[in-house]
Amino acid sequence: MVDARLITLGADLQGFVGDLAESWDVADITATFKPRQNAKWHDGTPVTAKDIVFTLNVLTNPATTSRWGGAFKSVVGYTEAQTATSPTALSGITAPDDYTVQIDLTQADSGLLADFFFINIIPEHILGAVDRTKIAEEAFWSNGRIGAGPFKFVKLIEGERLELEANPDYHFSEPVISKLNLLFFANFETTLAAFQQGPSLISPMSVNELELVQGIEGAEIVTTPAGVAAIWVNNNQPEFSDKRARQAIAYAIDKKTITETLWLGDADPVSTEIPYVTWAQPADANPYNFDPEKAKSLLAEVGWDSSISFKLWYYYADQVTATVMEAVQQYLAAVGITVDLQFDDGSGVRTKEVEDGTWYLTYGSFGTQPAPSNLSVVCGPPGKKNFTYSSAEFDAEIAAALLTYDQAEQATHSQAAVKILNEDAPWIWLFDRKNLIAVHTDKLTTGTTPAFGPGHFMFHNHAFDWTVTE
Amino acid sequence: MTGYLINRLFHALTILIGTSMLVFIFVELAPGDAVDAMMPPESFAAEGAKDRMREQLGLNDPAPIRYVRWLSRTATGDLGYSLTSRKPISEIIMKRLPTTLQLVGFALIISIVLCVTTGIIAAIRQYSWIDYLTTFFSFFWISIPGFFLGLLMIYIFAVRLNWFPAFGATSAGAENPFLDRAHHLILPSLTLGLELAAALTRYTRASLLEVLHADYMRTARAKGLKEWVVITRHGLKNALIPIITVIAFRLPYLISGAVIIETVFQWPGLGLLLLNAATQKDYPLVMALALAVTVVVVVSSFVADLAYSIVDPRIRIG
Repeated sequence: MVDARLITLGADLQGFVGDLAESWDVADITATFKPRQNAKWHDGTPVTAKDIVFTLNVLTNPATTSRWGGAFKSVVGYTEAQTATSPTALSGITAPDDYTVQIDLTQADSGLLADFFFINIIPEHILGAVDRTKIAEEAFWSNGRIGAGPFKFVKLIEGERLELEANPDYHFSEPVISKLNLLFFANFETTLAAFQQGPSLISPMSVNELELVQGIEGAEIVTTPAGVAAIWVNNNQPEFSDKRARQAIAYAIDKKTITETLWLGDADPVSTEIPYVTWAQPADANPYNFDPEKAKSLLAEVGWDSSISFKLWYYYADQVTATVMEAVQQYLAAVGITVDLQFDDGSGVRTKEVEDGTWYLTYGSFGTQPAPSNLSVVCGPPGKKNFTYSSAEFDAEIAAALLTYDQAEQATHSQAAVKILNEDAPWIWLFDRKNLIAVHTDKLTTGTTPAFGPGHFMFHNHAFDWTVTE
Repeated sequence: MTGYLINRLFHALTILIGTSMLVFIFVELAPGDAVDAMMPPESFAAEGAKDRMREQLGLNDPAPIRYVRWLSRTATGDLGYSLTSRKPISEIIMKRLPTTLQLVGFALIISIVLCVTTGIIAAIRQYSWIDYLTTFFSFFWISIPGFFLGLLMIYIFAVRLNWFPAFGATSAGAENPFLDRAHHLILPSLTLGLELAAALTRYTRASLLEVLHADYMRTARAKGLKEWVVITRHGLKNALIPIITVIAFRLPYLISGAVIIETVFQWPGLGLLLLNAATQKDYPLVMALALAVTVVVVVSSFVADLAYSIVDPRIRIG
């Protein structure tokens, strides 16, 4: 709401939407962005190319320890900047004029645009002089934040809410809503109580509250993509190093029944990552339909020892997940795989096991990955240490997909990459989950274009044309 | 008196240092650190990012050095910075402390008023239906977990009756901030106070029953004083001594109960802050909060001693 990005994705995950970028062009090893000339920071300063250049240089500077810096590995000067003794701007990112940003690449990178979904552009005129090692400590981030989004920061009331007001200079149009408050809750039940009582117009919910929310006058339920839930398997553990053992897990779990009875239809059974990116899905992917006999025969082939039990971690705190985990435990037990369920309450035990490499199984989600190029982060080298998958074949297909801008070629290589994952089953993809959001549509109108999307990256919510009736 | 105060100060310092050391040890023994909390395995942090952040935050230093560094800073009044928000801890605590004091303070007032009133009635009308009703509700409120009671109060008084807000300490754009805050305060302080009141009622009743039939009470009645004067001026004063002890003893529970109530009602006090800090392994903030709570307990113990001397002239401080 406060920040703006260069480009975003529509909330329905279809099609790029220019935010600060009025236009862009990516050809061969050059990407050119044209920022909108009417875009302004909340303090009235125009947003120009130097803000974008500054943002990317901050991200790629190792001193800032940004998690998104690695997304720009293909930019000229990136490698040198990582080993420089003092903060270095990337030579491949330049601003030929105030409203042109040019990014020179060492090789074609069709995943470049998708990386911008995760990046807010930050003001050079405010943060430009700050020591990079201390940039995260600036009061700017929590108090008095200046962005270029549809709403301006008013005040943060710690532990209660963030008060925002309309930005009259917003580059699309001045928002219809004049004030917007983002409420903080530590407790899910209180979140729903606030929605029921009325001050909260939008609230997260789960399938357990379907009946409750459906009974609230004026409330509707919106579903948004939430990412594919999977059981991550430590492929380095000898018991799971053979893909047949991993495939057995996939066959052992009745995904269809779980989605129908526990998710109540608000999830779809899947067997691949990014199932909603339909052009990247191979037509012959193995659905791993429920087949406990097949699971048992695979386990027999690998000489499975059913006397050993393994810890199965999960970190979602909702009741639906807890019930799903119990169901998974029973399905696995039926084929001879014994798991002990362990909830990760943030105590650090699981993190320690991941760092030590002693973990076995974890149920989780990488969140909605907006493009196949993100698979290189999730399933490729950056994730190798923590997620243990290593396939030269997969890396080659993803690299080939990144090296071409031709959609058909991208599809061919992406499908091949997804097929490899599907066959290798390094992790067991289970459910394409949906986030449920309760909305007081009797008071809030968000237009005909989808406005609610995944929570972990920036999508175009067009909040400037939302309206509220008293 | 001076000697007494010095003695108490010395004890307080010992308790504070001991508490800080224990808290630090427990936080250290817990696996993971603040950087792990900020960058879980699924965050795909850049190679070396966690190590660099640990270096920046001073987390690579040995634990004893970090503790001594923290202690020496705290002795000069510098509580340091929160590892997660990077803000000065003293600033964070001073912003939230009044909010918790309001909650705990009002809860204490509510519990004292309720326990004295119902305790007196139950004692005077021993074995009557009022006494049995009071006993029933006392055990009822004691038995219900605070979390559940809070949600119940929200459901009945906020969602169903819409008498009170369901969350927070303030409303955006409130015309009268003082009244608005008071309106928000009622439900959480009532919830917190009821639990303490339930326990205190039993003590008040028992304590008053002991004195009701004492010789001096008979003498007071024989002098022709009204019954309520006999009870309040003569009986209650003597019955209060054990009650003060119980209140002082239960005060830490009130503060710990505030953590739960603040979470349920999204009351932005120290309790909620402590919960977040512990979850995020923000050890400087956890330790500062532990110290703050310890100070409150030590001060309340001192205030209880002063209250004894007021209630019972035979008790002298020092």
